[in-house]
Amino acid sequence: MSSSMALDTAVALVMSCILIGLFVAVTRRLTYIGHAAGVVTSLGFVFCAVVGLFVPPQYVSIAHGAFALTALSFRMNALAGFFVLVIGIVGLFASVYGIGYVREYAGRKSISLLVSGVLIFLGTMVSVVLAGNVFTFLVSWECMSIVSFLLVIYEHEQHEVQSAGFIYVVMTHIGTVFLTISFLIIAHYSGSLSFHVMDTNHMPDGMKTLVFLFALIGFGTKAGLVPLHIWLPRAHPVAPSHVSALMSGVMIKMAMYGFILVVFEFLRVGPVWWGILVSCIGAITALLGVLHALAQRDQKRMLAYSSIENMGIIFMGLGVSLIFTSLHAPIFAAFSLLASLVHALNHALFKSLLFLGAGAVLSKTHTKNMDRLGGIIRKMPWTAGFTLMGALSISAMPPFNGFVGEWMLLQSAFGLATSEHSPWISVFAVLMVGAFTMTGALVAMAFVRSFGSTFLALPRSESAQLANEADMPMRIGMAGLAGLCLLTGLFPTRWVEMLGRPVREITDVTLIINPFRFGFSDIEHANGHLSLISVLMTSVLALIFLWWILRLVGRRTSMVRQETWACGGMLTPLMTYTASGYSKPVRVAFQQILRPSRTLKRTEGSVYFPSKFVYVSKFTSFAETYLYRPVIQTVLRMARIVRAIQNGQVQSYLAYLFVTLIVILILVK
Amino acid sequence: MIPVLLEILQVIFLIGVSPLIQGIVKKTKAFLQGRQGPSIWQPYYDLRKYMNKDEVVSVHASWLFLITPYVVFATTIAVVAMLPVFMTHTLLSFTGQLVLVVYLFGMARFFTALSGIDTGSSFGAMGSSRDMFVSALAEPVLFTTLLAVALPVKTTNLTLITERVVSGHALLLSPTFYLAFLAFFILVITETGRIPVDNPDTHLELTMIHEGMLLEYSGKRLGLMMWSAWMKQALMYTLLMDFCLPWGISLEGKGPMLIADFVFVFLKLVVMAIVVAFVEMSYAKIRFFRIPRLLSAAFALSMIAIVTEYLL
Repeated sequence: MSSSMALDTAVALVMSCILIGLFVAVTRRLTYIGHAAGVVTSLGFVFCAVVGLFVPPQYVSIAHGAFALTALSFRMNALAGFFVLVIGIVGLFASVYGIGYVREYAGRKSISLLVSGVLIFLGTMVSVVLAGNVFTFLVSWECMSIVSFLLVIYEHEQHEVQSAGFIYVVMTHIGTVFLTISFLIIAHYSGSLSFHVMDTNHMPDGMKTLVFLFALIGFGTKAGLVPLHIWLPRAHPVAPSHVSALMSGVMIKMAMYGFILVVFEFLRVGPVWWGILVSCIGAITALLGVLHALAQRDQKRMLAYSSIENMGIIFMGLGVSLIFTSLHAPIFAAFSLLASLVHALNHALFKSLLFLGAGAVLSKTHTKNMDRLGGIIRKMPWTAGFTLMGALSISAMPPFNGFVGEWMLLQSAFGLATSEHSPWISVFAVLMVGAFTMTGALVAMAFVRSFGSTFLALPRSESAQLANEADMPMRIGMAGLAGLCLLTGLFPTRWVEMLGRPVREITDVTLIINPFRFGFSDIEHANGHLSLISVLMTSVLALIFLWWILRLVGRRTSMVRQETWACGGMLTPLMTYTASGYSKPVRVAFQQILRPSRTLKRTEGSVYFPSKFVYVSKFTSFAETYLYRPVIQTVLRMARIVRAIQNGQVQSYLAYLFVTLIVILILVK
Repeated sequence: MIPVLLEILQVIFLIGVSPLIQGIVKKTKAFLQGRQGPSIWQPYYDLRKYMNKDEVVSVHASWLFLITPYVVFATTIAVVAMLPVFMTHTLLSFTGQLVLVVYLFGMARFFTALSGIDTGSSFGAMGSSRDMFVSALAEPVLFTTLLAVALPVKTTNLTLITERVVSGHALLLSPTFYLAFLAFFILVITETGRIPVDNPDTHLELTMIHEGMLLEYSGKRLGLMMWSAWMKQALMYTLLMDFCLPWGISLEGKGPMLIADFVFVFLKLVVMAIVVAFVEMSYAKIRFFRIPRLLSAAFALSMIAIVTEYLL
């Protein structure tokens, strides 16, 4: 199969996604067609993506608009293929999961609208990645943002959902403004809107820097980089769970795609500070993201903060790659880029899995508040098992896939530390390693906390007590992702080799991967070999040996079940540790950053014999207090000043017009 | 064939000797406190007792609680199989990554922390929360300290690091190594749960971190958890000696010198245990929220170590 056929098929699939989606939305019936279309087109996307990854790039222009500028055009290359692959895999399992999950809304909401929304969302995301010129990219980008906005406000009766949707739509448009400008500047200097002829060689350095900064702001908004992240923890959790999985797992990767496109493909080489800036922002995003994740009680919100953290890690990797590019170390630049891509794929897998798990718990207990859950590992053993696998992956525990990605990222930072360019770059790299590993350990804490307070100990509310196992389609969706998390961790070579294709396309460097022990021949001094399967086998052999020894020398022991020791009393659910209690040390130690506040108000009884209290504890967001509030206040103050000239009388407006006319006439003359 | 046997012997040596190290630390502490204390072989008697005792398990505990001791034991053994003890070549040399060692410890901690929550006991969950918090602070320090040693030798493979440190003794005279050694020593204290960070002997629930999570374990599973903790202690001592005091580690892994090396490494472990006991006895346990200060001091030390390395 040639690449042009893959491209034609992919574009046809995008069209059919959108058409079937609209059909289901209009007829408000035939939801099963929507479900089937979701599964089939996702499979098709995976297929096209694999072809796209392996064959030479193709470019096609399919529809011309009324003006030359508005031609829709698409292209398929390895980088696009990689992102289509991510969309396809997550889309497939999210669609399967959706078959079971939408039953939750039966009778309450229109299921067909949700199903069609997901379908169109998938189609527009693929079309962003396949876009072959600026016009197609921006149109698809806007469609993707708007469809995801509609999906976010699916449960628009709730006030929280409305405000989340509003902030999302505002932030995403601010981002679009910046990236439109940056695309237009590039197009101006290369004289074409088509991606394959974009040429920045004649661009002055100042313009390059401007394009870089605007792309960073524009795509950073979508990626949720601090301080542009404020929409993400609001919008992602309120959407239906499989949509959250798609948004957190896949949609924010579109920002990564765009950033790679503009900075790595169009601008190519920049000064060193670009890379340092990107990795610093990445590090701050990662640390703040995970600290905020630890402070959340809402399970899905905590996952959304963890997505911010992961985007931070990915951008750290991209930043390191940019530094290497500026220092003319192409092999390491390629390796760091590859590490970022691997982590992006891993994050797509485990974050979607975790969102699907949280969705299963939500649909069976009707609460996202971890303080009110607990003990459901016995009621939902499958969901618990899959979520545990997701938690182990995201905490980068060997032998799951998260470890492979983080190991590669650490190796690239290590490479930067040992590159003998300048001692300060090396010290900077070590600081990056410090931030990275601290993030890693806090992530492990965050997921021990979320898994422990959701699934372990005793149920702390009636709804948690009455939970039952998730439906079959939901379990299949989670099982697929969990299986991939384990498989790509144990056998990473083939996957990483595949992801080497887009890297070769961008950097012209082919990284040679040792097939037997996962390692890279070019990264010689790091001697980076990793074989998780042999570690696992060693552990299993050790266990078998231990069991044999114990049988040989020990006696058979029995096990008695007794109540947990609770200082002599009976253990009640109220005595068990909550998610809030669990993260107390972090809240205290990082109070300068998290700024927790609590108020205790007596509502009933006298001062001396209070009988009822209201206890509120909350965090003030750093970015909102110090960045957004002043900006919003300034805008409002300006508006108030401008309002002085608006008195509502037609005469005065005519006078304004008259004065303006005279001024213009004088100027023109 | 012989190299493989020696590599397996290396693993068995560390597994076998780890209770003795614990016994020596306890005996030394007892001596310093003016007590007679239990025999240095006591941990072995304890282990035998644990393995043959019937278990009492909480009714609230799930399968996670039951598998945790096995996971912890298995991951600890995987680390043992990567770490050079008396010769640089190990069973898993080809994958013996620094990063992997730290993350395998993380894996053991992850499961221990979950089992602490699983029974519903507040002590377990409290210990779990504190342990994860301390580890979050210790992890970046551990990495920067390890990097201080790994950067000049330009590899993250444990066998290669040890080989290069052993063969290039000149490195040992640089200030980098002294500073890294100090930072590393603080980490060994933290990671093995000793005073001033944690108190392994206390029965006061409010002061304990690691022991809190083991509170609900009994019998065979408790035995495995204790043994894993002792192994981790021996591992941390060995890691410190591989990186900062590498004398007597055999490069070739054969010949009559190997026996001398073996004895020497064993003596180093014993001395290390006595030193740790001395340090433990000279400090009082610090408040929980003072631990970040101790660890940031260690972080500063390791950063200075790295900076001096580039400037000198």
